[in-house]
Amino acid sequence: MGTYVLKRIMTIIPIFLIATLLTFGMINLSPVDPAEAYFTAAHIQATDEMLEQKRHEFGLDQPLLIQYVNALIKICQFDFGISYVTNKPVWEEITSRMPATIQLTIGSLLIAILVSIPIGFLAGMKKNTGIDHFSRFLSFIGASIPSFWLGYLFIFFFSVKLDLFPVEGTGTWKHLILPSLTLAFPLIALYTRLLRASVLENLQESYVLFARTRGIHEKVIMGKHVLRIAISPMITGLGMNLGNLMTGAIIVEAVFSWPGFGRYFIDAIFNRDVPVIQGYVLLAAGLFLISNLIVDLIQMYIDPRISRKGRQYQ
Amino acid sequence: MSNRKNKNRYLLISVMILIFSITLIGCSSESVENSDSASESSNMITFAWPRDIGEMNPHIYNPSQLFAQSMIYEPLVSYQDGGELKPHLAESWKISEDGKEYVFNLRQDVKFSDGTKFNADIVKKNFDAILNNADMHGWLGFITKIDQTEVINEFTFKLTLKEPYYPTIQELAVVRPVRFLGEAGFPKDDDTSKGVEKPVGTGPWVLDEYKVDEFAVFQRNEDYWGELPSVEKIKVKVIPDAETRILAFEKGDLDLVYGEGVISIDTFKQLESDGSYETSISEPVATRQLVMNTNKEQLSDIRVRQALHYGFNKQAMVDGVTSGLEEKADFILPTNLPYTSNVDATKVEYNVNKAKQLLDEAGWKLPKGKTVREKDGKPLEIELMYNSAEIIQKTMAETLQSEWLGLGVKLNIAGVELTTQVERFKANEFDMNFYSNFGAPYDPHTFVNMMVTEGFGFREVISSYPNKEEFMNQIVEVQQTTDENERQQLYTVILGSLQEQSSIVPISYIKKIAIYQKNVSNFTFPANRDEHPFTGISVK
Repeated sequence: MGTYVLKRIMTIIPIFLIATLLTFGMINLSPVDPAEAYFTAAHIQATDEMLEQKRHEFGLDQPLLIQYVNALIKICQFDFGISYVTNKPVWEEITSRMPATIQLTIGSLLIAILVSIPIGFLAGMKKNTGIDHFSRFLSFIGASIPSFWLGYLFIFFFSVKLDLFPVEGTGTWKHLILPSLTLAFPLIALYTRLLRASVLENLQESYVLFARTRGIHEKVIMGKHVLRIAISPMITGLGMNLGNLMTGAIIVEAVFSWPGFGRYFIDAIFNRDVPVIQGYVLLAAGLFLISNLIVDLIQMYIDPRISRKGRQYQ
Repeated sequence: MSNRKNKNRYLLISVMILIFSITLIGCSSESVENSDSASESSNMITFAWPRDIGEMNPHIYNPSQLFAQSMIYEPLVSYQDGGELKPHLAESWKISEDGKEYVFNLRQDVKFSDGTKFNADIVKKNFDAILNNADMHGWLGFITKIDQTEVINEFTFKLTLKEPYYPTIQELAVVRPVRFLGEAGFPKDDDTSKGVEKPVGTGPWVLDEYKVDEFAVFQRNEDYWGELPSVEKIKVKVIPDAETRILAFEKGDLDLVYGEGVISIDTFKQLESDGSYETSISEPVATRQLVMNTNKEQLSDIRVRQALHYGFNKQAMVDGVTSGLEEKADFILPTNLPYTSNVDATKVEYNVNKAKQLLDEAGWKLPKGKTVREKDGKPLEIELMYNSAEIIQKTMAETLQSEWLGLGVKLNIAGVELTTQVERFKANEFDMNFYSNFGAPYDPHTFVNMMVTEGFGFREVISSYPNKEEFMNQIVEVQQTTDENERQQLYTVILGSLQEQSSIVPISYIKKIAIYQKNVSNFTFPANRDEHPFTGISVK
């Protein structure tokens, strides 16, 4: 297990390198000059001298390769540079906004889990009944409604019309409900379907038949055996989506004025705030890698057959 | 055995969930009290702004928001309706005969919000901090022309320029960078470009509470030297999304939504017709223009430019696209700016036949069986660049495309990002472009100055003018003359010939909008485009 984790962590290094190279390359392919973007955002008609000075300040007058290597060396020292726009260290900017984004992510994960496990499980057990149809309806809706629109709908009904929740901002747990629900909705759609399919599949397995012949109570079979194994693909899904949730919170953050770093990132893209974009991409890459690793570990823990199978081939 | 293990496992998971939830609630409960206490004050205006107000430093630009800077910091001179320049922190001023020396008598009753005195020393200190970073402020003409700053006595400050530059007084009214920070705000090395210690200003408002990306609360400055605002607090909520702003407004969380392009035209119209809210539209703040590159062969002929001007129904387009939020413009600059009110130019009325005739005269004929005019085998094809994020520009571009096709002109429209638009404009890589002038307090001098300065895209706009040399001399002259009458005359001539040459087509006057709840009264738009609108506002 230890070597496995170590191996997985080692893969992070080449992936990081590729991520930095890709972002750096793409930013430089874009025809927009960050110095010009800086002045445009400030509504200033920049003269050529002003532009040149800014480029020098940003280090953009150096050859591309040197720029890249410099950035890389700094990143290795956990220095993501200074934001062009705010003039503050990128790391500070990201960490100060991270807690809000993490709060939102956890909130929506909890909602997604709490809603999709019962619905997906019941839908699988009681195929073609009311609950199954309901789950199908829910997933169609969840998969097809874009989240920004869903956000507006939620605000309109639950906040403006019914006055149950605040429209935007942070503060109380009430502020968290609507944005989390919006973010969780597509996940609910996905997970209920995943769980349903997996439950159906497991019901055909011989262990269920054996358990039944052994006279074990149906509730125990379902709760203790089927659910535990059937939930495995959902956990993989969760892992894939954890990174997605963090980075996908951008739109939801904008709609609900949530002070996370997704919103900050959008501004950074428009302003060509290169250090911020780079820092964000690296962080996102890290999140994906780590969340996948954690999920794999959890899965091994829940369903020991996975690690046993792994060992068979060693 | 395995059962117990399972039990432990479930216990562990439940405990983890519990801890998560408690942290979540714990994180939030602290700030709850804050937001409650802020909303308790009844004499408060809450309004929404798309971005965080940024650092409250009077000497920097991005990402600080102009309106917020103008609430805390004040200028020597203030820009009022119709371009009138009124004393503010300076009681009066004297300009020497040669137009190089400016002596300001400062108000003696002004204090910074921390109780320290406003005097000539602090004015000089601010000027010197600004001049230390003069490169950053090169866009503001008079900064580049300052030779010396002097303290004459406690309340007299003298500014000496290298050469006469009449817009100096007008440029002193801008929101940044020439506003004044108190002594306590300066960092140790006095270099304000890196940041300030704390936002200490002389203005009617003081920053009271601030949470990045969430809100800012400004408290009335009880020791303000001028007329005390009637509301005690202004709360600025940061709401980046336009639809959310409106939903929050409809719910009653906001008292005011204000600005340019802060909500969609449809929403504004809908709220206006609803009747439950007050709405208002400002005087023109700028002109939306169509700018042509006269270096391009097709557009070098004045007849083609005129034909394009005659060839679209401006009234219908402006009304249709902006639903009346903008007004059809006949003049290149709004006529409420200084020196712009008596420009005489022939009004161009929509006339398709005249447009076709002009094109024929210019040699662009319509071959039989074709829809696009040609000259020497070349089709009359023009590209119009627009900012793809701006729906008004896009819709107008599409309208022009279909209108001009009727004349036999093929218009290709190219949507680009704002920064690309600016870059291509400056590099002269365009046929036609949307532009809008800066407005008060920067114009008309900033606008005409761009015509003679390299690197602004406007050099190419005038490059085919027959009297180009003379025109450019007039622009240089107008900034240096110390004679008010001569200046007015020169502006009339300069703006008149720009109109006549038709390479800048005025389309519409851009306006600000405001929507507010019925309990808000005395809302007025500031004459200075960048200032805050809270002077005199009150709430019941």
